[in-house]
Amino acid sequence: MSRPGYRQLEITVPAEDNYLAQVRWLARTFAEDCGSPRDRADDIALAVNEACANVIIHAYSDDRGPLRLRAWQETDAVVYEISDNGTPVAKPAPGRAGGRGIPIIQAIADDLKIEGPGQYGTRLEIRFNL
Amino acid sequence: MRWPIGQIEVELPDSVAVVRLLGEHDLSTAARLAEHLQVLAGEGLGLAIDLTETEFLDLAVLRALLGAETHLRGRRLVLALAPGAAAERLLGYSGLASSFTLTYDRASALAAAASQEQE
Repeated sequence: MSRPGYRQLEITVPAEDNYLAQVRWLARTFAEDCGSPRDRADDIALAVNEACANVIIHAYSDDRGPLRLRAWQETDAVVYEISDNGTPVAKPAPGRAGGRGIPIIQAIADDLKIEGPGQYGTRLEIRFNL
Repeated sequence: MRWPIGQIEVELPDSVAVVRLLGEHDLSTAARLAEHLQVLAGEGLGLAIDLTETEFLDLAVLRALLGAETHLRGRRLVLALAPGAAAERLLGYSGLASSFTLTYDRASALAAAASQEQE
C-alpha cells in the first residue's frame, strides 16, 4: 500500500521521437501504479505523449536537447511535469507543424499549467485526478 | 530492451487499399505511414485505414491520415475503428472525427471506400 506522495518518477531522455514509446510506457505504468484504471492510464499516456511530442517538434531547432519527465503522486491526483531547455525562437523541423496537441491534453487532464517558452525552456505541469 | 515499432500492413482487394496499423503508432512512425498513403492514393485507389488492432496512435498519425486525404481528389479517408479503443478516443479528444468517414468493422470500411471509388 503506497502512501500519497511516495511514488515519484524522473527520467531525462534525448528529445527524439524514438524515445516516445518508452516515455509513454513509463507514464502509463506510473498512472496504473498510482491507482488509475487502465482506460484512464491510456488517456494519461496519450496526454503525456502529446506534451513530449511538442518538445520533440518545437523545442530545439537543430541541436537536440533533453526531454525531462517527472511525475509524482499526490493525495487525490497524479501529476506529470514535462520540461525542456529549448528557446522561444526554436522552429519545428520541416514537415512537423504543430497544433491541437495542447487541446488534446486539456481535454484529458483536470488541470494544465504552462510556463514558457522562455530563457530556460518550457515546463508543462499536467494534473490528473484519481 | 528493444521497444516494438508499429507495423503497417497493406492489402489490395480490388480497387481499394486497406492499410492496417498494428501495435503502437506515433511521431516516430508517422512519416513512414504518410509515404505509404501518398503512394497508394497516387495510384487512384480508394483507401481504408484499419485501426481495429491499433493499440496506440497520436496526433502525428492523425495528421498523416489527414495529409493522405489531400491526395484523394475530394474523397474522404475511411477509418475502421474498434469502439472505445485508442483511435476513437483520440478522434474525440482532437475534434477531428468529422474529417473522416468512420466505420466500426473492416467490411464496412471496405464497402465505404469502394463506393467512394465508384463515385
